[in-house]
Amino acid sequence: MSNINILAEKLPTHPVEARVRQYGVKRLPVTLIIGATITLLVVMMALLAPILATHDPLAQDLANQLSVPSLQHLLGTDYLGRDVWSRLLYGARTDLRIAFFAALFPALTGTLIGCLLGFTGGRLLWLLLRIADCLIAFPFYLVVLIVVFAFGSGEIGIYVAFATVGWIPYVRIMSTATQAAKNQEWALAAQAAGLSRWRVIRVHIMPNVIAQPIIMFVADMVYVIVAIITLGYLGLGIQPPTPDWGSMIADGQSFVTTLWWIPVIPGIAVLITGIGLSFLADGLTQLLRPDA
Amino acid sequence: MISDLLTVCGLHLRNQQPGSEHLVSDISFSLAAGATLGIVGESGSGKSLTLRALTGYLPRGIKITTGDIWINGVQYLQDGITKKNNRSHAIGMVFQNPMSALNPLMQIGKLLSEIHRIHTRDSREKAKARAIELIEMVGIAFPEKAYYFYPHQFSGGQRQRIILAVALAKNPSILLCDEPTTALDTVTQTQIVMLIKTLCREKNIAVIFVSHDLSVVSQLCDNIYVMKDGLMVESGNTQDVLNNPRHAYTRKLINSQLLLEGNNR
Amino acid sequence: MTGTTNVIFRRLFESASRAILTIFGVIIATFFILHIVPGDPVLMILGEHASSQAVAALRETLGLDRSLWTQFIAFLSGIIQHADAGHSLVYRIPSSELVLSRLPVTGTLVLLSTLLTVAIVCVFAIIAAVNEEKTADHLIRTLSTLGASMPVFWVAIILILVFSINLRWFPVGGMGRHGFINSLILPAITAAIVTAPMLIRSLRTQLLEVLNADFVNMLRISGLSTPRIMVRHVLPNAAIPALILLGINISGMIGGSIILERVFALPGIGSLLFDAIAKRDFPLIQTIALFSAAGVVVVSFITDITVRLLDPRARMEK
Repeated sequence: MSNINILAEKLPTHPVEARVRQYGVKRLPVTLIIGATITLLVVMMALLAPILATHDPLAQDLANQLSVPSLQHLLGTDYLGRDVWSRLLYGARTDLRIAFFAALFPALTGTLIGCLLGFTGGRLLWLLLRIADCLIAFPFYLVVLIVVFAFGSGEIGIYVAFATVGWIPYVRIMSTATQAAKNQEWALAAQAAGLSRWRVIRVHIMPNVIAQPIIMFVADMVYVIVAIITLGYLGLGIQPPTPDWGSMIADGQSFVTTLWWIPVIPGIAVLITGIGLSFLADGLTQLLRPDA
Repeated sequence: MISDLLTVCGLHLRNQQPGSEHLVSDISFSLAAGATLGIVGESGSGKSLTLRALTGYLPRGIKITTGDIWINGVQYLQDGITKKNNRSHAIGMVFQNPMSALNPLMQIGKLLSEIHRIHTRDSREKAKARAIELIEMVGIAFPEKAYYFYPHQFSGGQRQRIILAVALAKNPSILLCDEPTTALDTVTQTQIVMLIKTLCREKNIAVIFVSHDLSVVSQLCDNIYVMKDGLMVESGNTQDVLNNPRHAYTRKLINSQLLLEGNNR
Repeated sequence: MTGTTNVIFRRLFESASRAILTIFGVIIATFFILHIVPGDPVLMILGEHASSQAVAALRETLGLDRSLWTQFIAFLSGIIQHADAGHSLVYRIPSSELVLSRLPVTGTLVLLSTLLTVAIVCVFAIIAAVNEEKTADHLIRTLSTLGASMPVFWVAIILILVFSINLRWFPVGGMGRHGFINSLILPAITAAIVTAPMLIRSLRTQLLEVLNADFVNMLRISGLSTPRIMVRHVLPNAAIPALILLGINISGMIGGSIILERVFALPGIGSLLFDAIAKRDFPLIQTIALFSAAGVVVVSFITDITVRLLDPRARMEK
């Protein structure tokens, strides 16, 4: 009996462990390193906004409207004389924080429900997937606009909007992955060798399956950030005077011919953040799911 | 030696990443017209790669470092550098996996006609007639109907026959077979081997047959070439080598095959 | 061969019933738009200080005085009879009329965007796949990561700055003076720029899978030239999953066009939506939602059966 247990316990280690152990950090995928670096930089700048900002983002200086970049105002000032650089930093704080939580909630619930229903299967899963089919027929921004219309603009609206449809990809992926993993030969073998069901799930199924929602969450963040600033641009997102990249672009749009950087730079900030997150997601895919 | 149909001299293959070992080292052999050569070895011995090197289509990341190849007196490879790219006229190839070796969206007859017309510029009707001829030649029933069928409508063995037809469609003088029987059951295996033997003898096509299955090779090939870890271990007449193996590895190979066959009785 | 036809019809029937089921679900979801509002929708429309008569009148118009089930039946029959969720509260004509009057603009925009996207995706995916692991490939792949991060309205602003204001090739916005198509070109290009990158990545992966397949090698060895292989053998095989991807993306296209209509001031369904939201015109909002979702389902259905018809493997009984 104990021999069989030893055999079962020696099932292959997780590929990540094996790889890192064998080659060390240097063999991590390039995309992962680049992505992690960029993302970390952006997050750092957001976190350190109070230190890096040169002015109070809300402070208006009506004598100094629409000024060009200078030593005092690194990116100039907007139409109310507020420092653009400081607003950019604090905007990062706001937008990234809200994006994180707005993406997290549906990710967690979707993953949990997906795993559960994937394991138990049956008609409940079928029903949930049909509901998902219906909801996903509505274009994302249509849903966002309607939800914001019903629940009001601002943070609450964003959380509800994304919670309404955000869970769908997670449930779909996790239910298929769990179903597949459950029926894998090695899982069946582990069960046959006498390991308890819970141990099979925890030690053997989970590591293989958990990579997907993590990667999906990172990739999702990009969409959520873009959605938040789109709402901000439309005036339906984060309300002024709280700095937000979207409303900065909207405010600056009237002056695009002369002070083009005011609407353009927040967009570049989104681009950089998005690239960092996308590369991070790609890198994680290469690392955690080499077979994908 | 160079007057033979095919001559390979000092072939070396390597993985592209710097510092890798040689996958194939110093392989040399020659083939006369109509001759049959079997290349055997276990997985990873480099036998498939050697075959691919002859076609000029190696998998990504694998390079020829040095070697010479002559086909019909024309030098296609010199010192590892490809001199003439289009060796395709003389060589036909049969692949291992009948599932993926045919375009799933194309009717097999159309495929055969297309290949025929590439090489001969015949009219459509002539090409179609030739295609039906090929289908019949490889032993598929109702060739006129089969012309219009898609690959997934055939069994594995039938697909392998079709792949043989594709290889023969351009009248090659050399037929390369890369483990074509591995994915088939024993009955079908014998059928395919017999088919290759018959057709190639009829048309005087030289055959290089790669396999890890010694019994199949012994049925088909006059000469044998044993590879291990990219190196040649032993070569010569098949019966001689199999009955009186000189190298320890060859002996090991033969014994392990007999063991399996013995257990299957 | 009758066996095959039966299978085709059966698959068609399955796809159709799934589509119908989804549309039914869409109708249910649309119905609930009126009811998901926290608080009273009537007060939301009329404001806090409306007279009790106005409130009662509106409540009756919207059917809120009846039971939920009765409301739903009325809603359903309204859709079957008029294809809309009721008369617009603001314009007082059937919502469907309003939506249909704006359909040409939005429809053309989506069509143009799709065509442009397909063209861009095919060209770049092929270049990337054929040059696998070389500079061109890496460049295209890196640029593709930008796609998801680009907010469509921002790209629009930049393109307007460059092409409309500086170069004066296209109108800055609006429609009418400059011609129908002319006003849609820049928005379509914007949509294509934002949608194409992800699809380029997907198509490239599909193409590589096919390119590295055994049968392509066999075709090469058989003497076919690379262009011939690409066009006659690789593309048809890769086109099928690509079509599926396109079908999936139609929803994103429609959503994007909503935003674009705002930035470019185009009189389409998107602007109608913003208008309806501003004026709390529930029936109109519901009708727009219905049309959009139904459109997505229909396009997905068409893509689905097209793929099934094109792929000989799908025609057979498994």
